[in-house]
Amino acid sequence: MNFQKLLAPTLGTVLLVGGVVLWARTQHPTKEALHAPVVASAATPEQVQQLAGELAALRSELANVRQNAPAQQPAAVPQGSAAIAAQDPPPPTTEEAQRMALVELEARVETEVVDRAWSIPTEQQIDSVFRSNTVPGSHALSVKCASSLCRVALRHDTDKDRDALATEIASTAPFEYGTYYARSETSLETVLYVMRPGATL
Amino acid sequence: MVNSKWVQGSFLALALGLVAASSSAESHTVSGAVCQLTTAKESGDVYNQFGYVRATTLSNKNILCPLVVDHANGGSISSVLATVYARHPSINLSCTLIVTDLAGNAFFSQNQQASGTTASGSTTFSWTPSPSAAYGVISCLIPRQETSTTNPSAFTSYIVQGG
Repeated sequence: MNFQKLLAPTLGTVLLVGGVVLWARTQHPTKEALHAPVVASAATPEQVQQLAGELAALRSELANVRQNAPAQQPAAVPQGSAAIAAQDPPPPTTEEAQRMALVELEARVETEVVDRAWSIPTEQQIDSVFRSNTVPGSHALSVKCASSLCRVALRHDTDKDRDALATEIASTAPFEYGTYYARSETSLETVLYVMRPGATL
Repeated sequence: MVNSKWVQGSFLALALGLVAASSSAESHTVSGAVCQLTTAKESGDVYNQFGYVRATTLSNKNILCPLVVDHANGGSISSVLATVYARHPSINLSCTLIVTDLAGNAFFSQNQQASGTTASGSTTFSWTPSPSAAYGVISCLIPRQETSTTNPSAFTSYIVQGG
């Protein structure tokens, strides 16, 4: 084929000429490059001396920091799925989950619409439990029922009375379906959150 | 020629291994014979393959059963199942799950009860504490026998499931 015979030397020539032109441009700066402003100039001996002083001060400061810093283990580099898990926040501990549950219960009893058909008889029922001798040494300070739970604030005569509370009321209505206990750390008081049958946290 | 029994055995072992690897939640099945009386033991308090049995007409008894969970592996209690025989027609066999903290202070309690007759089979109580529990006990009242010829009530076993 004549066409194919001509194509190869033509392409070779074009590539050779192009390469020579590009090489020549790198050896001789263009007119624009010759007229470009000078952005950097040589520092004066005073400036060099000042920079050297600043560098020496920074090196000295870095050495002090390294000397006083506590020894640190290099962090392990997580790999694979461990790397993905390491980015997630750890799940709450059981104790943290229980504290959050009590906060949620308190918020619920304060914000729920009151179901008076249930709340009034239930409040009376709770009040009668603590007025009777069912739970000796524990006294109801306040009782508030909403629609899915009640909050009962209690004061105990002694630590022993408080410790016996769960055993004494757990199988007594209306506490049997589910009762949460928030124990005060500073006083002989406990707040109960009494769940309505069918209600869940 | 490959032995077909060897192939079947290999597949079975592989399947069992996969099941074991995929079930991270622990589960402990405990005999009711480990439960403790809250008062002194009497002749009517029997421990056998049915767990704790109240085999007397004299009085009801209270027992406490510890919940076992493997905290070393980050375990917590997501549900508890108890198998009991409730055979008194008018006195309920009553069990309460009491979730506590490490110091024994109550956080949550929930009660379940059942009654029956001398012919009653086993009954299962089920609890699902929310949030998951770390510590706790099952506290039960086991009724006395109705008469000396009727079958006794018993707390037979319980399963603590982790989550």
